[in-house]
Amino acid sequence: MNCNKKNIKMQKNSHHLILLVPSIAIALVSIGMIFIPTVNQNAAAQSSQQQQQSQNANISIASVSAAARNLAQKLGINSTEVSIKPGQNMSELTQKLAPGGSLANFQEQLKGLGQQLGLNGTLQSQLGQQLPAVNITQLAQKLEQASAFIP
Amino acid sequence: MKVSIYISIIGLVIVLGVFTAFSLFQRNVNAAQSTQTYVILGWGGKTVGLADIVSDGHQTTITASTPYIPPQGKTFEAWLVDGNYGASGYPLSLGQFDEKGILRYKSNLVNAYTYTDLAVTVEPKDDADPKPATSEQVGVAVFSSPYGK
Repeated sequence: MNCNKKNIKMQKNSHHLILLVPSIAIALVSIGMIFIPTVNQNAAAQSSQQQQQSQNANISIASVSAAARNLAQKLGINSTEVSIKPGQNMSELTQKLAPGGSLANFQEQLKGLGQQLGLNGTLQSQLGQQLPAVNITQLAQKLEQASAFIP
Repeated sequence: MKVSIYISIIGLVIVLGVFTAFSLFQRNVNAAQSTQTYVILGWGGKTVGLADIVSDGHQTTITASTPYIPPQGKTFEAWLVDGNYGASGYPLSLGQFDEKGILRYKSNLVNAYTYTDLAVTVEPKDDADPKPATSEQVGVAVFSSPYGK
């Protein structure tokens, strides 16, 4: 009698187990179905971010310079050389940098090229916000003073 | 006999004179110093600074100034770049601008005239990476002759 009771209990337990195992399996599959795509999405997002970073890293400073020089040549500018030495014509510099001047025009075009090359635009605008306009005469004086202190 | 000795001595003196004059001329040619000032144009549409470059092809002194302050935890670093076709593309770090926005560089280079540009990037302070952060480039100065050989 007791044995029968035990058997019935065991059978009941095994029934529970039989039900429990598939339930756990279904639960695990469901969890997997929910989480794996999310993890994949995150991984995909991360890999795309890494790709973007490596693309940026792949742009060498030499190719950025080459792009700048090519642009300068297209605009008919050989270089960004200016005259600021004492006794030389300082207005040449201000004229070149004034709106419509050759260097100002080149600089404006550089902005577009920088965006194409993927240079950090946020950083450029942060710097731009520091000063409404660069006082080129003061900057030239600062350079002259600094040059005088070269040992 | 005596005449031929005199002629030989005079000839030797002339040869020595020509040789000395030629070598002095060569030395002067090599020592010709170029002094140039460049505007460092900003990629953001504003002038980033000015750079003075004095070089005889070897002894090179560069002074640069900027009115800008780098973002917190960052520093401005200047680079000489040889971006010519077939060049190494290797950027030479000139160091960082000081807190007053001044950079001073002096070196005895093998050939300063191979460089084509000066670039300014924003790098983390005490940066462990020796390469330039290309995408963080804020300014460029394009060199003229005798540079870019």
